[in-house]
Amino acid sequence: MEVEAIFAALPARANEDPALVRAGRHMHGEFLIEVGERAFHLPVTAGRVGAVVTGPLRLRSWSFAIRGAESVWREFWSALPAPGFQDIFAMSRYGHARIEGDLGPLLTHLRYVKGLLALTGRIAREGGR
Amino acid sequence: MSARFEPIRGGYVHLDIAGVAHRVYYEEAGAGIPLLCLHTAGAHSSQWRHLMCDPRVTDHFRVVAFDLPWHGKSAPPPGWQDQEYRLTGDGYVAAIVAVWNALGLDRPVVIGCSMGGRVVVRLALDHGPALRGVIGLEGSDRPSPWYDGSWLDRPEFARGDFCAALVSGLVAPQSPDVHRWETLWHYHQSGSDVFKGDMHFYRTDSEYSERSHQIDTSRCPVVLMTGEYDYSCTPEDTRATAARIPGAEAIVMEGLGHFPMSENPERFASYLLPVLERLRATDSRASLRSTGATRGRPDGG
Repeated sequence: MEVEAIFAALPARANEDPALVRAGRHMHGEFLIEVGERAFHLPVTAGRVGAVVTGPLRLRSWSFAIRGAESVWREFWSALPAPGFQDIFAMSRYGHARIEGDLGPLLTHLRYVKGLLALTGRIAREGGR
Repeated sequence: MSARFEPIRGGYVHLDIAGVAHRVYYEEAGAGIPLLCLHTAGAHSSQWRHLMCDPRVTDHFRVVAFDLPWHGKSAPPPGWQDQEYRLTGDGYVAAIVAVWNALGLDRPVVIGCSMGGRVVVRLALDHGPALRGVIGLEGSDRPSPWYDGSWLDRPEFARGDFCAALVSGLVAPQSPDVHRWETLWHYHQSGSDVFKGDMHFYRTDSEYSERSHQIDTSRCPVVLMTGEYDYSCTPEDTRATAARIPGAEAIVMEGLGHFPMSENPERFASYLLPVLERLRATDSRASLRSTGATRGRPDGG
């Protein structure tokens, strides 16, 4: 599945999952996922993801960014990621990905953000619906 | 579904830890060589429940696990409300030795995970002759932090759901969901700031790599077992530790993460049972050679 399609499918899939919405209910903010050179801007309001904006981005605000090569994200999205690719912190520790910017909102809403990223993996594996 | 009872028995013991009266909760099952189990930071003794229900273990070992003060059902000492909880190396060892003595564990094998896998290195150094061996799960002889120390001062560390989310990726992808989420629930349950307090030991007060080569593994075998998905104590951290301790063994466990005993009990058993078997065999040979010259009282050395 194309990376753009994964992120395009994310808002509807995330917002129809009551447990995920509840995990993010206190989050109001925006962050970036970068897959290689491509940036995806995710706005979140009260645990619901708005329309994902695909880069290039010009002067758009965001608090934190998680950046990795497409091959890294593909491994993260696989059904059985290799050791070091199963979690954003594993990818950070081993230098596969970079987590940058204001990490405060990431830590405050960590379960939700990790849940969103896990969902991108499920979407990638299912190839959409 | 009909009621089903586990063989685990629980109890409370009143004892002094470093001169302060505590009431400590412990659980046990089985009979034989004492196997004292140490839980991870911010968690409690329930992590060991599968081991206590495995007759392949309990037929030969008296498996004992306790909740460190401030954890699980072991309350903090009176006056806790005016203290900041901070686990030190000395305090951790004092608590372990107090329970070891109070329960009359004769030359136990000590198995600990994560910070428990760290402290067993110090136990082998300081009390090796009074032990039958140590097993460090996700263990190493020095801190190896994977996130910035400033995170500890953020208010999130007082929240159980944050602590669980922080460690969630340390569970291997293969681990069954029911065990994954029970393992994470232990972090949801933690008292506020307790996980943070344990990090004082794990991140700053447990540097043993300068001394670990002094461990006499002929008297106290050291086995270090680490899951391949552990990025807190990495397989490389464990191998490097074993390389510094002459005679120590390092085992990297495939398809396991940072919580092997609770995240995937069956897979973990396939690695642990041969180790326990070897420790039993070593112990029988040692008993034949010396007729109990060293009694298992930690204070006696």
